[in-house]
Amino acid sequence: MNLTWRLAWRNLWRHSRRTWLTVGAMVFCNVLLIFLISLQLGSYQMMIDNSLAAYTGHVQIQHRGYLEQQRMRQSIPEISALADELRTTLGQGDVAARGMAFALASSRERSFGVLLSGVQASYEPGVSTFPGLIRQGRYLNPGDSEHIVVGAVLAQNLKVGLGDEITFIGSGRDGSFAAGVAVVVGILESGMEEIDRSVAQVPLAWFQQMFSMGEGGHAVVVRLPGLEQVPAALATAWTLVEKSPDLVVHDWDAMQPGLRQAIASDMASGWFMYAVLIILVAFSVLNTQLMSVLERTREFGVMLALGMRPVQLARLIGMETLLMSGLGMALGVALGSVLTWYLSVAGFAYPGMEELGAKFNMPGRMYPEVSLLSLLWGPAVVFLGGLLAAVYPALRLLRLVPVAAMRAA
Amino acid sequence: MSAISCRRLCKTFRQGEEVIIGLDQVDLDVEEGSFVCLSGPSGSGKTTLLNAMGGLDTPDEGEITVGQYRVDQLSKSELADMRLHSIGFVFQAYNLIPVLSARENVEFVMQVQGVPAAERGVRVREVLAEVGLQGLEGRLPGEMSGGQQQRVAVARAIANQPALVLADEPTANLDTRSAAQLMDLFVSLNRDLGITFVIATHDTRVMNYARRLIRMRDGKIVSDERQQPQAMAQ
Amino acid sequence: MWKSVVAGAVLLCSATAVSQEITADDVIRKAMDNYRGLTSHGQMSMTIHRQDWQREMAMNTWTEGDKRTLVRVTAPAKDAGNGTLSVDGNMWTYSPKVNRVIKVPASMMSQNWMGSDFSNKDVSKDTDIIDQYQHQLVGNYEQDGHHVFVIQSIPHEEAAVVWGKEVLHIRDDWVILEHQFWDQDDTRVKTLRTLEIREMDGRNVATVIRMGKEDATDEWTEVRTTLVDFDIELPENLFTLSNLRNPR
Repeated sequence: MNLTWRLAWRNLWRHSRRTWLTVGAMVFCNVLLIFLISLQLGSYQMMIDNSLAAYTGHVQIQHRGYLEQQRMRQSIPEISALADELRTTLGQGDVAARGMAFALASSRERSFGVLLSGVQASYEPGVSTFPGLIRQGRYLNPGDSEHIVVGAVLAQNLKVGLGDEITFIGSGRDGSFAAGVAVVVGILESGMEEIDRSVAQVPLAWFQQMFSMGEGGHAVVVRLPGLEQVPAALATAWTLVEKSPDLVVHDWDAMQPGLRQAIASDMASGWFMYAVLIILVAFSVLNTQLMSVLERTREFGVMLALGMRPVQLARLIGMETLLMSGLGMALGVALGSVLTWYLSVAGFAYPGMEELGAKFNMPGRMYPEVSLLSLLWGPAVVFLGGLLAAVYPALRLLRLVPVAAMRAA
Repeated sequence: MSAISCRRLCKTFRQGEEVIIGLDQVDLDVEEGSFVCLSGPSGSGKTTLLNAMGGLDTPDEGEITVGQYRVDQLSKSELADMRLHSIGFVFQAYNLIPVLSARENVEFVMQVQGVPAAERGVRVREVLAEVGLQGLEGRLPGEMSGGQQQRVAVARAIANQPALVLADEPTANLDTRSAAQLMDLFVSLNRDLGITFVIATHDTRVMNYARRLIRMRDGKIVSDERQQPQAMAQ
Repeated sequence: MWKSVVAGAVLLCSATAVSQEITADDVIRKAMDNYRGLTSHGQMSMTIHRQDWQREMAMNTWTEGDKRTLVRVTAPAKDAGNGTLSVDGNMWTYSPKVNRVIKVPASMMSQNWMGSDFSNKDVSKDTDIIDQYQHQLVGNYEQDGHHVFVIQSIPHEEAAVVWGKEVLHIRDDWVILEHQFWDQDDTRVKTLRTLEIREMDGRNVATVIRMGKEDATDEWTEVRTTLVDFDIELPENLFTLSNLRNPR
């Protein structure tokens, strides 16, 4: 080891307790940051997965403009065939075709406007958690035709139960009058008012017939095992629709822009807290290095008298801080990795979270995301913060005058 | 040829309202290879003069030349260069780096001086032998006596074979035996290597070793005598 | 020749006289009466135009008083028999496909009627505007020898109306030339324009009207009246749910 590094390293341990305290603060801060950032990223992952898993999926193929205008005529022809093709090409995740139409739903007693979905009973459970939320009756079966599954609130509003009929009136794709009667086979309850009031799902084939859709539909929905697979799936979907200029592929961000915004604002508040933590640690480093510089003024004065340059002294302080911060980072990352890795395998739950998850057909434990980013981001910033904190003590050395410094106590 | 030449050196310090005269029109020439003592009571200006010669302090007025350097005209970094390569310093309080061993203390200065690593190892051993510290190379300053520490400081001062060594009260913290050994070392270095020594002291034991004794008072040279050096009284 | 000159002069006089005495409320009232009559029966065709497609249908309409309207589709064959009944602000729709009558909830009254640019409310030809709005005469001009009143109608505070205001251009023979719908932010959303006026059954009737959105000029719905009879005898049970359900 170079003599200067050896000197820096030994200087660090002249006040070993003080150094350990500072390193300890760094390690604590690093472990905390690793844990919090992993948990935060993990919870975003979960938040995204949960909200996309509900209905939207990660990727959808739609007619150009349908996302904004939701017009009946903006449809995908031969939608089931396209869904089949995508399913085969992707080889992972789930793919289902849907049709959507506004219609007037009416029971014997009441009428409400609803957004009716035509779904593929055999594939829909793969792309949406709704089928798993049936509280009464059952979800649609592949053999169903004039059957419907509705949200609990909608059922209540319409005053219908299992076996009751709901009549639909709307306009078909060609502008013709569309009408149909479906029997309620299942009632879905998610506990979320908005969902329970709006879900109305019928078999796609019947939907197509009722709304004069031919073999068409409005969305091919893809749900993937995780967000990591989105870019590849997007690319695959794009190659499939290449020959149809009217079709476009959307990722989840385009379909649910609020999600990313919510995450961004949550991140901002998280970062604020982290910044405070990091600044506190940086001040602790500043304090340590400032003290260590002040108490060595005389020693530094001698070094200057011997002909050392102030810059060389400042570099020495820089090296000492580098070693101290490096130690804090190494220990912090090691400890933090072990803790986070354990939690990422074992999972982590707030009290009551598992019951809630069971109720909403969602995972009951959250798993911190262990990635290079979550492990290194916090410690790296603490490391840089520490180095930055040493700038002031180091700068003080640049102003040191040898005679005066040697006279200092 | 003069190793050091001072012309009309003036230096004042301000201490609150009071103006203290450090140097008052000092003229002095020190020949190469001489062994000079600056003596006088505290505040007589001997340390100020020493610092001016070493480029640690710049005079208010006057000219000062050390070897080929016009010290009063050099920039801070040129002064640092001069101190690093041409002058050795020995201080009253040894001022070794406490976390480095005797060997490392000397080597560190050599590293700063830019001596190649391969050369350093050999040179450090030579210099430490020269000051009589064989076998103690690995000791930390805290594990050595005052005399031994001051020898390390001397080794550090002569590591780069300077033409001039400036020593400020080098024996002040030493017992008589150690002080005598240190002075003997100075004398032999002066004799064998031709290094010029300027020593500021008010220790009469040290003055006896000088071949030229300069007395100062209130920033002025009051006497400048050449004498026959004597061994220190045991 | 002289006859028409005199007629013109009389008309001019009467128009001037009218404009001095008549109130905005009267103009609206007379316009409503003109196109509804005490009772009426009309045959119309509707063209829904979109950028990439167009659709035609034919229908019969009956009205009685201010509050009763029945619309029944006669063509195309696929849609024939569908009907809409509106009585006292309530609306029902019937589809022969499911053989059921459905009540259109109040919340859906501003939704479009069968994919056209007319809302359910427009189709019911409701005369709510008479008493739910405050009318003000904001201008008048001459056109084709007629005096035209410009009336701005602003809904009463408590009125359950989606529009911020409506502006009507009404000719002195009580034909509505233009009907503008403005939203709460004072932006014009859609306009119903009269493209053709003919005399039918003794009245001047806007025989071709076109509803167009302001932000999409290539999207409109045109209604062409081919026949209309006013003040006729209508069967007693015409405006009942059972009649809606049993098309003749």
